[in-house]
This record gives sequence, C-alpha cells and structure tokens, in this order.
Amino acid sequence: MIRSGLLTLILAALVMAPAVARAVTIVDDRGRTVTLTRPAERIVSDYDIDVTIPLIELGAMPIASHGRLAGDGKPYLRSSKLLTGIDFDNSDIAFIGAAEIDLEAVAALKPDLIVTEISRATPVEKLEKLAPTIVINSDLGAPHVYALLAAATGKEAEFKRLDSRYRAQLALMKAEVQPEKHVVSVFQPLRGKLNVYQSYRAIGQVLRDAGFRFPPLIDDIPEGQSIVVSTERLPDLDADVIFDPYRSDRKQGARAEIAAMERMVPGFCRFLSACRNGRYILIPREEAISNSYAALSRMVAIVQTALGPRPPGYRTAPEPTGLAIPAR
Amino acid sequence: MSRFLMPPPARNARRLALRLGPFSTRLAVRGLAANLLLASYLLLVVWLGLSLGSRPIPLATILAWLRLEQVNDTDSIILGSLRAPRLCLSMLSGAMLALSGALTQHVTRNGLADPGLIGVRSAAALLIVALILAWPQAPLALRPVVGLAGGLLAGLVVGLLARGASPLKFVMIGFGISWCLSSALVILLASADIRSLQRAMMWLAGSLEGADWPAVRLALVVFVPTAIACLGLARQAELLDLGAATASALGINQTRLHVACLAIAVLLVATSVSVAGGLGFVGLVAPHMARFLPRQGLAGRLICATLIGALLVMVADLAGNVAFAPIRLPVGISLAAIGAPVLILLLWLRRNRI
Amino acid sequence: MTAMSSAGHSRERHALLLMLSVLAVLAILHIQQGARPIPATVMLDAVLSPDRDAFDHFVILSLRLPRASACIVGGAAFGAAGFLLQVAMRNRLAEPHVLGLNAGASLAVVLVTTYQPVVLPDILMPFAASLGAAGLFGLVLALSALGSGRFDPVRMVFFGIALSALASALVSAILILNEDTLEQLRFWLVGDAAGGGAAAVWSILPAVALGLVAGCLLMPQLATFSLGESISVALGASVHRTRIAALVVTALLCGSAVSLVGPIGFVGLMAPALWPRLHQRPSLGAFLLVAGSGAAILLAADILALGLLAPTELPTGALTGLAGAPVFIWLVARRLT
Repeated sequence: MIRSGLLTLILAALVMAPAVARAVTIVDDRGRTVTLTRPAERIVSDYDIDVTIPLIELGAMPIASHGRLAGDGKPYLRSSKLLTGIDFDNSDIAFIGAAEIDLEAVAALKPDLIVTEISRATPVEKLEKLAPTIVINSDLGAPHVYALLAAATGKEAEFKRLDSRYRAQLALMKAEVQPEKHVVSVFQPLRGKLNVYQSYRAIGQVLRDAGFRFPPLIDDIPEGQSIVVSTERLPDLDADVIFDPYRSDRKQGARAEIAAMERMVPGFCRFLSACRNGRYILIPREEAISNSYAALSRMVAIVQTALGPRPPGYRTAPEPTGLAIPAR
Repeated sequence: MSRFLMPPPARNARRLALRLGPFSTRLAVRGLAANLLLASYLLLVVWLGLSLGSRPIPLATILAWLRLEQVNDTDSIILGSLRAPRLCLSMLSGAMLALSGALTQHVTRNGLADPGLIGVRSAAALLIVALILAWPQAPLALRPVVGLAGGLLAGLVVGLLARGASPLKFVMIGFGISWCLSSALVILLASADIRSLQRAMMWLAGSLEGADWPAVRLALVVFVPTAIACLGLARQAELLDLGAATASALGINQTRLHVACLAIAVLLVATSVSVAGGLGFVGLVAPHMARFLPRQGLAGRLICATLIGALLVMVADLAGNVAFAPIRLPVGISLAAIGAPVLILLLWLRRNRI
Repeated sequence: MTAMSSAGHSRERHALLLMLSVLAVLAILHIQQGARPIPATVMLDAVLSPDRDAFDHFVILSLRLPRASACIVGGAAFGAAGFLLQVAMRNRLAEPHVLGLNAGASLAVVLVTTYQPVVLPDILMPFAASLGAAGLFGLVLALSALGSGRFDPVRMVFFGIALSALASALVSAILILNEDTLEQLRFWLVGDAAGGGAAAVWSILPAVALGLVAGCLLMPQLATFSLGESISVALGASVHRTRIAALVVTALLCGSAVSLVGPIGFVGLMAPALWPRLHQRPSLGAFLLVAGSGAAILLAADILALGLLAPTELPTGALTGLAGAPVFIWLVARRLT
C-alpha cells in the first residue's frame, strides 16, 4: 500500500519536476507526510548503516551522521569504508554521536532534512523541531529506502542507475544459477543456540529477489526478522547452501565463527549437506548488514560464486596450497 | 535493631520562632541557610546547563531568551526545544526521586529504603517496556499513564502483603517483589530482537532523550501538589520520631499517615520512571547527603533532599553531555558513574547508622 | 545422645537417597525435553551404541546430556554456595544472588568478554568470575562488618542488594555502548544452561569439584557455628579463619557456576528451605543434601524453561527468580514477625 502510493508519488514528482519549482512531498515509513520546499541538500543522518551509506551512494553526501566509536576512541561509519570508501576521516561528514546523538550539534548545523530509522531511540518529535524529518524502515529493503531518499534529495536518476545495475547483476546471476531449484538458509551460532534469519538484510534481499526457496523453519519467520532456536533444529536448517554472516569486525572473525560452531556441534559439517558439499559460506557481516546497493552487488557476486556451475573433478582444499605459484 | 533507626532530629538546633496572630512556625536558621545555599547552587547549575553544550551560549543570550526577547533562531531552538526541557525534566525527576526516597526512609525508619529498590520502579518499568516492545510507535504521553498504573499496583501489592508488618519487613518484602518483577521483565526481553533490546536497556538505565515540554508539564502537575502535600504532612510525620506511643497520644492516626506518605512516594517514583526511565541511586543517596548538612525539621530535611536530588541528576546529565562530546552518555550511565562512588562513600561514612 | 545422632544419620541417609532418585528422574525428564522429538528407544541406542553420524544420537550425547550436566553442576554449586554462606554467616537470608556474588561474577565476565585485556582460555573463565564474585562480596562484608566488628545479617543483605544494583548498573552501561557483546551475552546474562556445551561443563568441573571437596572438609568446623560463636570459640574452632575459608570456597563455587550457566539467583535460598530444621544441624550430610537439591531445582527450572512455552525457550534464571523471590519473601515474613 505504502509502496504503491510512494511509487505514484515518485512518478508524479518526476513528471511534474520541470514544471513546478521542485517542491517535494513524501510519505515516510511511519505514514507521516513531509513536504520539502526543494530537494534537500543539508542532510543529517541519524543512523550510519541504513541511512548514511544509502545517501553517500546516491550522491547526496550528508553533512553529519551518527557513527560508532572504535576501541581507540575514533569515530567511524559502520561498513561505510568497505562499501563506499567514505568515512569520517576522509570526508566532511561531521560526527554527531553514537548511542544518543547530539541534537544541539544538529540544530547548529541547520540541516534542511533529517533522516532517521524506525528503530532509533531519538524521538522523531524532537528531530521534527530542528528540521523536516523523514523516518525510514530498513526492514523494507534497500530499493524501498533508496526510492524514499532519492525523492527527498532529488537524486532519482542516480537511484534508477543503481537499481538497474542491481537488476542486471541479479539477472546475470539468475541466468547461471536456477534459484527456484535451490534451498538456502541463513543462520549463525549464538552461544549454544542458533540465530536464524529471514534472511539477514542485504543477503536476504538478494536471496528473496532472486527467488530462492527457504527451509520451512525460515519460511515461518516474518520477512526481515530473526529468531533464536535450539541447536537441535540444526538439520531443519540444512539447504543447498548456507550463509553465515560472521563477525567481520573481529580479527579472524570467520575462523572464530567456525570455531564457535565447532564448539557447539563438534564436527557439525557431517550433519549439513551444504557444508559437506563445501557450501557453508561465511559472509562478512559488515557487508551483509548494510541495506545498500553496494552491499547487494557484493551479495549477488557471493551467491553466484557459491552456487554457480563448477568444472568436473572439482574438490575443495581445506587450506590454500599455493601449488600454482613456484617459490621464488 | 535500633541501629537501623535514623537518628532523631537534634532538639538543640538553633531555631527561630515566627508568630503571626494564632499561627506560628519555627525555623532552624542554619538549616534554612543550607537550603538557600543549595538553591543557589541549583541556579548555578541551571545557568551551566543552559549555556554549556556543543554550542556554548552566552549568559546575555540566555537572559534575553528568558525575557522572551528575539534571539538567534538556532539558539532559540537549542534553548527552547532541547536544553530547557531536558534541564527541567532532569531537575524534576531528580527532585521527585529524592523526595520520595526521603519520605520512604522517614516513614519506614530505614536508611536504605529507596522506593527504587522496593518494586515500584520495577513495576513501572515492566509495564512501560512491555508498551515499548508491543507498540514501538506508542505516543510518549501514554508511558506515564501505564507506568503510574504499574507503580501503584506494585505499591499496593507490597502494602497488602506487608500489611501490619514492621517497616523493615515492608522493605524486605519490597525487595522480593522487585526481584519477581525483574524476572518477568527478563522473560519479556528474552524474546525481543536485538535493536529493541538495546533501546529498552537504554531506557531502563535512565534516559532523558525524550525530554520535551509535555513530559515536563506532566512531571510538574504531579510534583507540585505532592510536594505541597508532603510539606503539609511533615509536621505530623515528624512526631513519629518521638515514638509510636507518644505520636498516637498526640492524636496522630499513624496508619493513615503511613498510607498517605507511601502513596505519595509511589506516585512520585512512578511519574519519574515514566518520564525519565529507571534512574538509580538518587532516592537512596540524596536523603543521606542531606544529613551531612545542619540539622533541621522534617520539612526542611525534605526540601534539602529534594534540592540535592535535583542537583545530582542535573549535574550527572551535564557531565554526560560535555565530558565526551559529541558522544552523549545516557543520563543513567553518568548517574551510575557519579552515584556509585558517592553511594559507597556514604555507606562507608554512615556505616554505623544505616 | 548416640542414639539420637544415629537416628539423625539414618534420616539423613534416607533424605540423600530420596534426593538422588528425584535427581535421576528429573535428569531423565530433562533429557526427554527438547525442540527435536526423539523416541525413547533412540535415547537408549544413543547411550548403548552411539553412532557418530546419527543426529539424534548427537543431540542426546552432545546437546542434552551436557545441558543436563550443566544444570546439575551449576545447581549443585549454587546450592552448596548458598548453604555455606548461610552457615558461615549464620544468616538464613544469605544467598549468592542476594549478597552480590552473582552480580560481581557477571560484571567480571562482561568486562573480560568486552575488553579482552587478555584472551582467557575457557578453563580460566570460572576463576575470573570467582574473582569478581569475591571482590564484590568482600566489599559487602567490609561495609557491613567494619565499624561494628560483627556481621549483622540484615545489614549484610542491604549492602548486598545495594552493591548488586551498582554492579548491574555498570553491566548495563557496558552493554548499552556495545551492541555486539550484548547480542553475544544476552541469554547468558539472564541465566542459560545451553550456552556452554560439553567443553564448558568439563572446563568448570575441576573448579566446582575443588569447591565441593573444600566445602565438605570445612563442614565439621562450620557445624560448631550453629552452637553460637562463643561456644564454638570455647570448643577451639578458629571462627575467623574457618569463616574466611568458607567465603573463599563460596566465591569459587558461585563464580564457576555463573561462568557456566549465568547469574541464576535464589537456588541457594530455595535448596535449604526444602528441608526443615536443616540449619539447626549443619553437617556433611546436610551439605551434600543441599548441593543435590540445588541441582534438582535447577534441573526442574530448566525443564520448565524448555517446555513451558515450547518452542520458545525461556531464560532459566527468570524462572528461578519467579520461584525464588516468593521463598525470600516467605523467609523474611517468618523471620521478622
């Protein structure tokens, strides 16, 4: 309902763009109607992974953003350097806080638009007092969020370019992999339990868009959410390929993830056909967590590599062998 | 058991008697001076709170803004929508918690009877977290109502269970109820997804992020009448210090007085929880800090504790704002950082009298 | 005198036997519970002729047995810790959760997990947790004893509660600022026996065994405490040293249990309360009885946690809280009237 209404709005905005002095009216994901006199230029983002990265990718560089603190006390935008190359240290984006954002700093920046995410703690009622505010719901996926943000910033052309790139990559992948014939699942170990996703943000978007099938246990989870189940359900999660979004912010996170799984279910591979066939794929969480086209691109590539056809005689090596390169 | 009782107010404090026709009142001069000093500190912190922040605002601008004169747009938004409501709410929630702590400690005659510890806060928090999880977009104004209902319900249950029991038993039963409720809260939170869990935890630890004028108005509407009622009850409640027999000989209906005081305390805590989340330590610490100041009558002591409570929360919030700017610590965290050492120090200094 | 004590011994033996059979029944019930329906015959098979590649056998041997063992080991440690504390402090309300040991242990575990000052091998985690428990409890003791020179029961409970609140404020401060650690520890933090698996049970077993043996050795000396401090001094018991030793053992037991199943409260309060007049005659038998009852209570709580809202698993610690807090209220009501 909201989606179709939004599409009409965007179309209307596109048609009317040359005629009217570019006033924009947006219905955000909390159903609020927000009117901007012109596409926003001074934008403040209240959430790094779900708002700041899409804005950067659309070419609407925010002037300030929520971020996180690294162990050494330096602020960073989660996943951003990895996906957009941009972070606080190489851009003019101002850091406005982590858990609670500094509303005074936001007011002092005089933004013409504030974008926040539906799960953020900062009350929208306060943000509204500082500037027009739109609320996005990242569970609805990157294309939806980008459409909203593009409408607010006048970057519809960029949005169409990113979206058609993604659709083309998706089509290429579907041409080699037959998604409707494959069952996939996404989960990870969580201290003696399994955290099961339907089906984890960017990777989930790709899997659903491509038309993969999920085990019944995952099908029963509402789209975009996750549940914690007992390790006894492990066989219910078996599939042709399993994706495990490991903690890539830690040193050797993928190895630690396998070790955690191994501690929980010693020799777990023997119970999972995906794993026995070399298709227990560890994907970096810093990429998979981001609802952005950059992340979607990466995920399409990973899925294609994991499921694409392989030549006969194929066998996985447990560790890199370096056979092909002669020692110098 | 006598060591758990609070020291009786000094009878030799220097007092001033005021008479006007049939009315008369006594004033403890040094106590009054101490309270005035605290009030002036409060003004100082108000000024600091209004002027400090990521954008410092000079006193002249603040004064102009207070006189409703035209000031710079940004400054007026920062003062009017951000700093002033937050400051007012931190002041009011601190005052409410401290007043209710002082009242509970006096009535239960127990130095560690913080209403935060006896289930009222847990119950209010339980219902409000349930509301946040079940209906994340619920209007802010609904929280106080729900929290109030929970707090009063828990107060009632504790009161019924411990009916006719000694004050000390009352407090311990409160602890038990509080644990029960936090277990229920844990069951609620166990099924929440990680992002709402973090939000709920932030709120549980105390947060002034939602501070706005409607919340301030609500806090004021509860605080002002109850504070006046407290001062009205203070003269009767003071007689409890003379012992049960003397008090009833003097015509005090003790049961009614207990019920009235505790109902007021519950109301104050529930309101504070619903506007500022689960702030800890204030109700416990402020009344004890008040006892380091010159002795005075109960009314004076209540005012003194209230002022200290307000100061504590305001200073904690201010410190959380400026210490690591632009990182803002939720007020619960900075309050724990300030309150915990103060609590340990107090427990140490007053170890023989708690 | 001899007749009386032998009658007491045979009663104790009966109680021990009863407790062991209840424990066995509960363990079997516990192993039958789980998200995956497994017929009883397969269970027997799994024990008698384990097949490495059968998932059902794996579930029985590597998931359910370790979880049941975690409950038994953790429950026994919590129960024993509670009883030791109560006898040593001559305080029926003394319990690791009430007196701040659990809060201290969880603070230590959260600190070590979040900041990883040194990467601790699993086998040392119980000791880090014990250190935290001992630290906070030491503070509680210092505050409640210094100045008056003796341990006042009610004051101790108050200080325990106050310092627990403080430690949990610190824990939530750390977790609010660190989303990923919160996700990692959220179930453990409220008590969860599924966390460790067989490896974790094995890694805390030495610490718990050490604690239980030390507790057994201390019991005869502690038994004289029940006669009152002056009499036990006259009997030549070194009250102070025995007490300190008992507290160190308590911290070790409690820290190990917390590092395995999380800060689960009130087991040490409920276990002795099951047996009337136990505190009047503290003895080796009574100690073992309470440790066994603690194990039974935790097993029962975990069965409920698994089965009550299946397939959703409830946190075990919340259930012991719901059951244990009323016991606390009841003890208080009885004590103070």
